[in-house]
Amino acid sequence: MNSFRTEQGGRLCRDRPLGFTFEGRTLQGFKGDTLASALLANGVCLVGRSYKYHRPRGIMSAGSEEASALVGIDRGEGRFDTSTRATTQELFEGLKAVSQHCWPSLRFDAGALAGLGGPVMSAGFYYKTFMWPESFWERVYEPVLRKLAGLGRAPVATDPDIYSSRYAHCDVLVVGGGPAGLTAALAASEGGAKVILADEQSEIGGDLLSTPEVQIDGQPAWNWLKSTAQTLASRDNVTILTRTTAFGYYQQNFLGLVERLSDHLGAARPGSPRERLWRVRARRVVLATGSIERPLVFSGNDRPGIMLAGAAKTYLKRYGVRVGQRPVVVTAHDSAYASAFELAEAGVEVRTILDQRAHIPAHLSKRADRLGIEILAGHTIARTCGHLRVSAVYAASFDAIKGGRKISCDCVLMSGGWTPSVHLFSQSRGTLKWREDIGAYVPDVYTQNAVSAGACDGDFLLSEALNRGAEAGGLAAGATGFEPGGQNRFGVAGEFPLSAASLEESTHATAAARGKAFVDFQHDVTAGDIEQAVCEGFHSIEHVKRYTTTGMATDQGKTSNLNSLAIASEALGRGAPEVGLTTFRPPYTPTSFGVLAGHSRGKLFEVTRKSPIDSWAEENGAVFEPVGLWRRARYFPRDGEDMHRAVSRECKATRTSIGISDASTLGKIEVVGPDAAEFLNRLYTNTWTKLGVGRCRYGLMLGEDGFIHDDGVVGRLAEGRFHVTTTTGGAAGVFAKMEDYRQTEWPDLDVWLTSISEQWAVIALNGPNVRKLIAPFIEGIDLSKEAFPHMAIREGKIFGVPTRLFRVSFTGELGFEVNVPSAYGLAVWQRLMEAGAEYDIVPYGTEALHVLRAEKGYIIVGQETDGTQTPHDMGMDWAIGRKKPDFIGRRSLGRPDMLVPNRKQLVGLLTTDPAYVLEEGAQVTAENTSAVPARMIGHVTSSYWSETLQRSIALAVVEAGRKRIGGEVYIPMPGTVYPARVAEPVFYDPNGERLNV
Amino acid sequence: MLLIDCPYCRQGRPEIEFSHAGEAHMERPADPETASDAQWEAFLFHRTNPAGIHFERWYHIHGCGCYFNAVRDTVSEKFILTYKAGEPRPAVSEIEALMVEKEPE
Amino acid sequence: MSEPIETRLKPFNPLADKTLALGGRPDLFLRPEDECARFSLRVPVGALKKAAVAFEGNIPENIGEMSVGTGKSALCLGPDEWLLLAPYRDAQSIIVRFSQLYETAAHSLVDVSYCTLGIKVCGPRARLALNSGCPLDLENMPAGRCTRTVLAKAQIILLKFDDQHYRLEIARSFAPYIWEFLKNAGKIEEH
Repeated sequence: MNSFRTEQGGRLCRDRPLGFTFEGRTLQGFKGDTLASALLANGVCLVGRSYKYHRPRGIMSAGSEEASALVGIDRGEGRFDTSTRATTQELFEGLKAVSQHCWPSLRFDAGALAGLGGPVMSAGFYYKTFMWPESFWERVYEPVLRKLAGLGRAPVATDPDIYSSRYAHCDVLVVGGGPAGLTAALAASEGGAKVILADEQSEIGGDLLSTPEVQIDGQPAWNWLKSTAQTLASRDNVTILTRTTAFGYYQQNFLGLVERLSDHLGAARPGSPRERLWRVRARRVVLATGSIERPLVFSGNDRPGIMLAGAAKTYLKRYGVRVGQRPVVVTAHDSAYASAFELAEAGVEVRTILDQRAHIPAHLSKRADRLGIEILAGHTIARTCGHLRVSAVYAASFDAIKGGRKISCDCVLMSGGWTPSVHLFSQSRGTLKWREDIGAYVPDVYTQNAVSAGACDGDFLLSEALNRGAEAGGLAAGATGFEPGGQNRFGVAGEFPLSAASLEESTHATAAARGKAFVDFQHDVTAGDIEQAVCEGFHSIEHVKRYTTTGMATDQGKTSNLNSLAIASEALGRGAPEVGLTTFRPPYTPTSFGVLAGHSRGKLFEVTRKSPIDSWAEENGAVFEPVGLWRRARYFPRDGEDMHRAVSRECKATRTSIGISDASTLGKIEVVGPDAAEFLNRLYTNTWTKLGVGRCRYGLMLGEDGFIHDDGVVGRLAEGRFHVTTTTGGAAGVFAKMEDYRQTEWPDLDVWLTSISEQWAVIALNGPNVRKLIAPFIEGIDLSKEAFPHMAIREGKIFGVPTRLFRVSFTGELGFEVNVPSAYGLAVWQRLMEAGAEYDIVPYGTEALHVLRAEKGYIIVGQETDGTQTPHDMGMDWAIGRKKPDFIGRRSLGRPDMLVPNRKQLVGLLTTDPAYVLEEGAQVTAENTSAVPARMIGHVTSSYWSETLQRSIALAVVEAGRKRIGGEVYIPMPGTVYPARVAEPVFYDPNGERLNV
Repeated sequence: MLLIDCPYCRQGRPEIEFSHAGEAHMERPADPETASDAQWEAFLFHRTNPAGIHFERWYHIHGCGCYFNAVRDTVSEKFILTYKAGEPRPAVSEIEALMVEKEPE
Repeated sequence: MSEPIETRLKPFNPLADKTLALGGRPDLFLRPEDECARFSLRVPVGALKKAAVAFEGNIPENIGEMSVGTGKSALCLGPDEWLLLAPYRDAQSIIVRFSQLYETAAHSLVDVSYCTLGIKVCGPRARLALNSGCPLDLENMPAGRCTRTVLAKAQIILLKFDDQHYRLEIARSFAPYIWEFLKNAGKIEEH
């Protein structure tokens, strides 16, 4: 046993030794240790290098506020965590830790040279340097900076862990399991309220874990803690979550919690989650988040061996570790004396306390005297010595700060007072007030149903925390309708008394501080940087923060915010409350992406909607493409065909015999009611009142702005019943819009809407032989040309299955769309494929569909249109019911901008070189030049090889396009300008003779 | 995530069940053809976008399927009240009284 | 339950033959519900009594209420919206009776039998699996209530029979996703 580890005491399992490695060195600790306590117990003081200057750094705290001791934890392939705080990482057998920001090694680091040449990397360094010569950036600056900078290294392998996620509801959520949180949870749960108690540490207790010397209600603190924990655990209405950080406080008492389930064990057991995200909605929240000790800002305050005084006490009492043999204490607050006295009583040679305050409470000087500790009032540290560990400090009074008395030591314990942890309270949008007596901000006005208790509310005494916690818990129970508990008061004996220290005193030294006096240890921001930023004109604290990057590291300035505020306020000559505080944002501590993603990875990353016929397409080698959340068959390659060949074959078969295609993804809405036709009249540009039962019409829907929003075929099944189809991607939006108008604009109409998109599988059959194919299997429908003309709908049966049979075509060929209940889509498709063999039936995908419709000049909403096209632009005036007094968007068609002659209009383009297929999205110009800038007069919206026409075809929107028909336009592409003739947008069968057969 | 009181479900429901549907009380002219270009432009494009009390529409798309109106403070994001589509715009005094009432103690 | 359609063609169900039982009791049990006829009914509340006569079953009046009968169930999902469930053999007569009702009371009855699939979710871990992706307070949701809501990335209709027995109705194309989600959540929560 070395001299750092105590012989007994602490909350360790001394019979459970654990082996671990740090930088390849094998060390030993105990179950109950953190990595930090185990390193300290082994006398390891140097843990890493700092971010900017690569200065040697040690361990400064004992909790989640740690800004210096950041390490990489390697749990195996894909399980490398960077910037893990050694102070929160629990030790486990075989833990492998490596330090960060060291190159080539921890003890000798090349980057540390940056710190030798004086203030070379001061505030705004990155904004000012590396600006010239420009060419140096890529070749020199960036590679070197990349090597030197960054917070740790990111893992590259896929995260093999799984993460759980759940929503939870409770009456009272207590955040923080210290004294105030424990009594709050006790009082809140007494009457039966459902309580969740969350604490970030491995066990509840908070500060009590570091203060076994006190007595609560006559019991030693740890006995009281044990019985309290048992009481809480025995209540069914209480959920205790340890290793759980409340990282975000959102609206209406909605909080995000991360429960770490396996990081303390190494890797998670197979199948079990590493972390769990709790999304908690609490009726009331008790914040008992405690406080964080502030470092003092003096020159060289970052050397390994310099740490917060409270942390030293925690290491001693909780972890059985003496952080050094010869500490010097420097403080502006009474609490550091507690650490000094406890260490002295544990046999550590505490010789000197430097107190920045002029007046020391008598009871402290008396006890120090008894223990043989010298107190230097009105003194601070002028500078420190020591390379990889502090070896001496220079103690000086404020008026003689440059000189000072050298005191040798192996560690420095500092305390600038305590900062209430108001992070979550601030995230809840509560406002803060400045308390001069404690030199910190505390909660003022609450905007949510929450209350703070204990140190986070500025009550630092244990007795206060216990009683205020109980009070808050009782009130919370009462507020949620339960019998309030917590009427009893707690008696505390042996508590260390505190007098107040002001912030001004704690940062007094900074004005005189020279050299590297650090404020933000993680981002290497010094007092000088903040003063310089103010000098350079950054007067808002938010600007100072961004210019110096203080408080912007992964610790979010837990230990630095108030010190930087004090320094900025002094430099500005304004009081801290006027300077204000920067905004607190989630997450409170770094949160893994894995837990935020939760279930949404792999197969569950996104919903893939599959049509009822999808499995056939998959078995038959379809290549799919995503269309919204759907996946649709794009083409069906045969015998090694590429897309071009497959699509050409599919198009040819459709034009010459039969093509079959799955159109099930189309949106479908059944519109029912006596006013259904009138409703559609108002929604669509077309007229519906005169559409006969059994007939269909192409419907065009505009937005109120007059631009095309959606389209589809509408069939009238009965006087008051329509089967409306929408585009695949537009289905949800069209339904929402229809409901909107139905409910809010025209509630007087008797009409109702039902989404039937998934009720019907849709099989589109196109080609001259389609009627012959289906005739034998249809019951109850006369398929003849006369009885069942183009644009009609009939109900009957196919293969015995009820069908809504549409005679429509999106290809220009004789076409039927067979709607069958979706469960039967696959079977009907298979029967049609079997029967169609006789006609060499060919399945075609969305790509062939696009070519076939483009040959006919049929638009696709979202391809030919982009939300700025009117029906007139698309040459679709025929779809407008001119006699109707109103429909959505009608008024906009008369707005002045809609009537200008040079609007972009739909035209066809035929390239001079018939073999060249234009790029979709290519710009169109009027002049044959590739010189820039050129005036763009439009762009190509669709472009394909047409197997039918044996040449390329394209659709485009071009300024005053219809007047240009017959003329020439140009499509400049890299290296070449392609001329094209402007043509009518219908390339094939312009009179529709193939449809009406 | 906000909790939104749907006036039809008469229940606070999680925000992900809803979608926002723009500003409320934007009256569509009864006869758009007689509206001037300026009036129509105002209907199409002009919105108040206040920092503070905002009248807005929500759609309980993954719930009861109803559109309704809400008064919400865009600064605090808090809902002050919700009411059914077609009901009149609540008076300022009513809204202010509710804002006081809703302050947490 | 009789087959819905008299044909030799085989209906396709993406969840067919699936069951999931996790844990001993089992703690989580998933199974596709038996197929049935479904109708979306939209009717003004004033005509609800007549609609119940046409349905030959109870139809509750308030959102979230459901009436679960031996064969027929009615779920009130919106102020004028109900989902009716019935055995296939009753489907045709329901259609006929409602079309007669239309003459005197305008309404909308639409066959949505194949829009959704039902999944039975039960067991002591059922609520936990559902709350892995559903933001509602299912513990405090009264038994015998129903609602349309969200589960992970999909819309669902949720029926709660009691704390350990639920039924979900999910659009067909979302059903395999929901099945996978519940399976995944159930397995993770085993630990």
